[in-house]
Amino acid sequence: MSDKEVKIERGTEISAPFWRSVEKEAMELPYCADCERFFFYPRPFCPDCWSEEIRWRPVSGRGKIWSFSVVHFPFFRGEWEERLPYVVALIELENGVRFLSNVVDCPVEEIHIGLDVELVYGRLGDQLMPLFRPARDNQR
Amino acid sequence: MKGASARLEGIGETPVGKLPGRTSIGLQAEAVRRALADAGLRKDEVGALYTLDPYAQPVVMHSMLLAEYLGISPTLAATIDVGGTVSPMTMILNGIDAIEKGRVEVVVCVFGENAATGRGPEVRGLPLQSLMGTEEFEDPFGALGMVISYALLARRYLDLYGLAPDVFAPVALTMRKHAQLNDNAQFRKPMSLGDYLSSPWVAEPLRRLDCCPVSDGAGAVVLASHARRSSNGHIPVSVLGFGSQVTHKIASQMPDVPELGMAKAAKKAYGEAGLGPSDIDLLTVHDAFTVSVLLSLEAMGFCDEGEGADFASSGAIELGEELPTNTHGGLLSQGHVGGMLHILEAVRQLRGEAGKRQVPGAEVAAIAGNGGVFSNCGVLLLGRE
Repeated sequence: MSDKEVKIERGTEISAPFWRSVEKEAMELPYCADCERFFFYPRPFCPDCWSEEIRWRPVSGRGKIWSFSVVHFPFFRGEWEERLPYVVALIELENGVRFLSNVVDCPVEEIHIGLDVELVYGRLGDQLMPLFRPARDNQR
Repeated sequence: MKGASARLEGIGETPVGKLPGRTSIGLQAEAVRRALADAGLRKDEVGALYTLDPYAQPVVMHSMLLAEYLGISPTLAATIDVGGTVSPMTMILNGIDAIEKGRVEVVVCVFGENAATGRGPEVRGLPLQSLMGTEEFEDPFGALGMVISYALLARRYLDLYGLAPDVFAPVALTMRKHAQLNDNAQFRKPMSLGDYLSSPWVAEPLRRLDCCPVSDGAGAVVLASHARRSSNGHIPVSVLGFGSQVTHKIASQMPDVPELGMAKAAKKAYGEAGLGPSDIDLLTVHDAFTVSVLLSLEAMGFCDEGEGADFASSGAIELGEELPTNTHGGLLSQGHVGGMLHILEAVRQLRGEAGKRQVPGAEVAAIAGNGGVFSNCGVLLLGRE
């Protein structure tokens, strides 16, 4: 429900390795050893080939903006309301995984589809989150 | 499906808008009673009841609760939840199947809720007391409900074809223009381009007037076998073709715009009916957001990819023009009742009972739905007999 303070559920056994890796600032994503590719979100099997040979592997954190929205409406209270407007984006990582996150450290006018971004970690409350900012060689 | 043995014989619609004091199940029951009266059938003739529990107050085993509430004992009952307008389409498909198999003779399909007045006072956006199932990977990034998901889709669409957000304006304006011809519409006040452009951003590139309201209301459809048809005085309407396609559920997993499921759904529906886009006299399309209309027009072959905005701004989707679209005002201006009212409007038009917004001589109607964020796309073609 939207009247709550943001409460992040990091509870499932399946996704725990993802959130633990984020807390260590070394994000890992599930990888199918049979297909030899990453997938997201976590499942105990590969959604493509149904193999159960799943490994957790670190990612480079480089990617491009696939789409984005500058959010103006306070769907959430608390910290999110104070952050308005904030940017929700779909990031296509260079390993092919598409990931929903926020773009930070960038004026909203400079955000566009195709922009090279890199993974950074930022706090929301007492939680560390995987966020994205323009890649360094893009910065003026 | 031509010469179908099951026909759409009754429709029932409650008032739509803000209806304080009304319950979701009460609204559904009223729609059912109106639809059965319209069909000229009795409650003890209902063999199957297909419904969807109110998103505002999720209920397990809702179809049995509704049967009990109505005081009926159907042979078959099911709660069907596959997204906007595709849910009622799927109820109808199940109903036709049950009639053609000889299991039942009369089927009721219904949806409705008090989403506008039945939510908690502090709830913003969708009244999601139910869960979407993937909050773990969306909520922590401030992505809640459907608007942001559609904003991500809309931005991708605009970027693909080099368009500006203003291209959505003709959709919002046309829906409002049509709603002015519908006494049962939530928003009938005239909307100017200036009103649209000064409407605040909710989630760019979507303004408030690109987003439908939440509404109280309900709608129901009654199907009956040829044998059980009563002399209710209405022109019978039947299903000519149907197609649907599931591709994903959440925004991060969606295919790119040209690969969304609507084109496949339309192709299947046209194939089943032996019809094409040029045979369609009117369209009702699930317009929770303006962008959905442009995407559907393109995928259904009414115009080329990327040309939905030109098609809409040419006036082609207005009453009296090439493809009257959402003559009832759509979700955007009539109100959001899960898309059920898109089916009712198509039936009304095919019967010739749409009054001042009648499409003259309408014989074939197309209905386009999409649930989630174009996650499940459906196309239903209806014809008059």
